[in-house]
Amino acid sequence: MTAPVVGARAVGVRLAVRDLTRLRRHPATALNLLFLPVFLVVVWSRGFSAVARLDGFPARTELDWIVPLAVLSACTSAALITGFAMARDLESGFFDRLLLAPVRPLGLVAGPLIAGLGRALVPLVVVLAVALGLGADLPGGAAGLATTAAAAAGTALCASAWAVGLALRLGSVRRSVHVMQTGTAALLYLSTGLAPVAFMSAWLRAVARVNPMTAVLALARQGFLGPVTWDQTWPGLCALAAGATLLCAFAVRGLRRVQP
Amino acid sequence: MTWRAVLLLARRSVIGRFRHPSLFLPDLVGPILFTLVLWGSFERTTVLPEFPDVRSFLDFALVGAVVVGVCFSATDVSDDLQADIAGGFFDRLAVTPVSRPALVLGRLAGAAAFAGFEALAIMGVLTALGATIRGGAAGVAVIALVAMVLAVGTGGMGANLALRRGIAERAAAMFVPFAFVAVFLSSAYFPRQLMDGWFRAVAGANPVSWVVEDLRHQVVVGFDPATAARAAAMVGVLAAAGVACAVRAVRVRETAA
Repeated sequence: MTAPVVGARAVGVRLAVRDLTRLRRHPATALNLLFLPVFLVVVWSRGFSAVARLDGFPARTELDWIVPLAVLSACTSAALITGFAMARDLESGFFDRLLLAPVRPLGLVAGPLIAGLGRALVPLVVVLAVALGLGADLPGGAAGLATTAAAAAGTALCASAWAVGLALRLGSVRRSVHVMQTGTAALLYLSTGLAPVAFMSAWLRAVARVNPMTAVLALARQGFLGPVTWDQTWPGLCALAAGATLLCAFAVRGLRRVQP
Repeated sequence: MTWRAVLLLARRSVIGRFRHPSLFLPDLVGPILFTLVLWGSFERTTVLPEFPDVRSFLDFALVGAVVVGVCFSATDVSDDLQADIAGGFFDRLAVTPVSRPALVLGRLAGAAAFAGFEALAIMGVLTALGATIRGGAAGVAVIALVAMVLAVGTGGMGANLALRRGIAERAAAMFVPFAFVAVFLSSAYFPRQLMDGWFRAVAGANPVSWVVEDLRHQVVVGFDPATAARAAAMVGVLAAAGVACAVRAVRVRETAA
């Protein structure tokens, strides 16, 4: 007699709940999750406020320009924790036990991805609330918030898939943590995260123009600079769709490395 | 015997770091990349009237890159110590004739050696990309030396946390926010004169700003023994406090065991 195979959805939801519960048990990680992005909003908006005094700067204040970067950065960090958790499960042998259980392997990847999305919701709300409390302008209104949230969710999904794929390939927290963070930070900062393309030096401008995160930031930022337009929306959505497809495939293929 | 043990443990620490490029490369690449992005994004701010007289934003931010790199890589000391504790290496050493402080001093000496390498590497890369260190070889030596002492201070604080927390939670996860706040609430990457009211006051009162500005003097003005000595003295105080905390934590752990 063979045990019935548990479906991918059931496994995914269970693993996501387990992953999200673990956050409560590690207060320092939870603190980092909220503290660092909020701190970044303050640092960038107050420490670098003089940048907005430059002629031609497209935002009213540096805070308006920096909020989308802070939101995406926070959601990315939250999503990466999924990868750390998976690496920890690989180290402890828990993941090996899951692989031997009668479960659909796809659920073992889907769970962490769902958890990454769920965890990103917390910094999204907190960072936006802090930014608006500090005086960020939102002329785009509810549509502006919606585009920021869409960009944040898409980025979190991509970051989770990247982290899970790396964890499955590298297999340990210490080996994967820096690679995960450096990869996402490079993508976020080698874009229009800190300054508009017109303000960049030539080499950074060339990189930012081909970096898909520039389109995603434009999607997230438009509500803070003016009304939401389709021209600023579709490139970001396309970039996120392509990124999510590629990185989810990267994560699923990573399963082959650990399957017995 | 003690110093030989410290040297051997320091050697083990450095070799352990270099054996895993995925551990040490991000400590090098991260600050360099971040500084290049700031340079590429904020070069235009050097035309603002309050901006200090510098040749380029890269010269201004060079010391910030070194300080950020050293502070964050020194937090690895806590992770390394926790790995030693979890793996039983620490307990095995504790039953040998090696003195207790040597156990942690070895890690700190290793962190200092790595910080020296890291500072030289960051300065080398940024210089190759166009930064100019007007203080010349003396300026470079001062910055590297201060980076090494700084690593002992921050590493000591991280070691203290690791030894007190054991393996319950990654000590680095707790220590990084402190390092983060100390560095980014300072003038490491942007001049105080251009900051907003309260932020400027906090950055002005932050010792990291004093150290960074004294070291920056070696880069943008030229070698000055007085400012170099002042920066070394400030990080020296931090290093003494870090070593004292770490050694005390070893003794507390020994007593508890």
